[in-house]
Amino acid sequence: MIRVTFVAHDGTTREVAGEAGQSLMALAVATGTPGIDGDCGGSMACGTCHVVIAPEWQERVGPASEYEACLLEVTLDPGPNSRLGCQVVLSAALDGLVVHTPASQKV
Amino acid sequence: MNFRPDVHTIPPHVRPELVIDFDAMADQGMKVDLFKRLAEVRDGAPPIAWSPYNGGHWMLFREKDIQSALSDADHFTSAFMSLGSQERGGPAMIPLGMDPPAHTPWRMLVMKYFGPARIRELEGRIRQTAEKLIAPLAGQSECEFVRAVAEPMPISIFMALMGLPPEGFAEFRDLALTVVSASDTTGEASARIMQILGELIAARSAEPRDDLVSALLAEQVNGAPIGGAELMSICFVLFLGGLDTVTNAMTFGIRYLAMEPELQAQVRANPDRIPALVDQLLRRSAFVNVQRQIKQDTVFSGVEMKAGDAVWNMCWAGSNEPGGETEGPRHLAFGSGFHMCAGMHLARLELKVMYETWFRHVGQFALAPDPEPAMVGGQVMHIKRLKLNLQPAGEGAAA
Repeated sequence: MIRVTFVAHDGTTREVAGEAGQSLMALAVATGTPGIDGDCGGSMACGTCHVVIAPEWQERVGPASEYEACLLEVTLDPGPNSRLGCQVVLSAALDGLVVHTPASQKV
Repeated sequence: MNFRPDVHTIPPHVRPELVIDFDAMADQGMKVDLFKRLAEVRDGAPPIAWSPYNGGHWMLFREKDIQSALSDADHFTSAFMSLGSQERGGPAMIPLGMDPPAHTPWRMLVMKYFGPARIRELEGRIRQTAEKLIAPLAGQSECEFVRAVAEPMPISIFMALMGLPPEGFAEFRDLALTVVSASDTTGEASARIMQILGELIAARSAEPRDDLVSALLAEQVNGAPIGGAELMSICFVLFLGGLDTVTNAMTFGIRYLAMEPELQAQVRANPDRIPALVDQLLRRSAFVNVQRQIKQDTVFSGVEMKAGDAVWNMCWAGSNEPGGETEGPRHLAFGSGFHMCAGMHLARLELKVMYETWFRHVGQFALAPDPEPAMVGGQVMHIKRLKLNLQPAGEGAAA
């Protein structure tokens, strides 16, 4: 069990538990966590699972890949800690992870 | 089943109990009400069925299976789309007819211009277009919605986005309608569209402006500038993907609203509901049956499939499973997986603005009598016309 806290744009927090190998997007969808859409199902095609990694976790989560960065660039409010939830895979090292979800994934 | 073997295709690896008597192109019931008929077919069919019509093809009816198929290019390829287009004298289909990994850099190029941040910049222009088309309906007692709004709105916006001059609207609309209607003159119309796009590309190569074609000309893919043929291919795919689909989404959505006065009243009382309404109506309208081809023999969800088999992903059925979700943004109206509609953010914004503008200018509305069936099945299911009776805004509540 890997615990993840999602912080919504209004500050509401929600802690959920996922499995190693599961993506952050899949975890959010499976637990009905609002703020992540994940329309394309994890193919890195839509950019609707944008999350912002809490600064203290950024190093352990790591940077976005080249193509992921292309998609992040055209989300609504990308920042230096932005990742696509479908590309962040849970592992024991990420137990306790904190991520922020944006106000909207869409126009 | 009483299929005539000379016209119906059932290969030996297809188990007989999976074969259903349903023609996804020309079924009579679909002409009257696509969605009622699809629900009926889905309810009576195995989750994965074989239609012996139109050359014979699989049909996937379940959301889970469709999601898997559209995320699995090793078994479900899109390459046949490019080959088919080229056989008919058209361009390759970039990025639609490509599989990963070759597909990925082209997809990212397109997404760069169709992500939410870029699409938001178009909102002012979309609002102007909607206002121009819908405001004149305010005093009318009836309209044909397809001709009045659903056709011209996406065509105008596409032309502006690409950098095509607005005075070419009438010709471009007629060409677009001919191309998507798949008639005898489709080849001719496609050739003329490619000529128009070719002239546009040449003009912007010589003198760039603030439009998509100029921007794409300055881009690189795999470390090299985009060639003329590749750019033509992208523009043609944007053209094919972005016009009739938005028309259909608008028309099916307004049709549902016309049949449901209570839903209309809820939206009128609370226009903040419109973004959620967009997805609610898209789910109920999911009109694209996304096609793939089996790339290598496989057993998919317990069903044996052979390389070369055609597959139709029945996205309406998958988006509206009995007992499934009825709200929320996750449905299959834009497909799924790595080819998920690149224009979905543009489409959602066009739909949102259209509904907002519509409810501001038009009061209660209802279907007007139309003696002829207007719906058409196929890969992109559509409705040819939508006759409406309109009441002025502000009087809907009294009706």
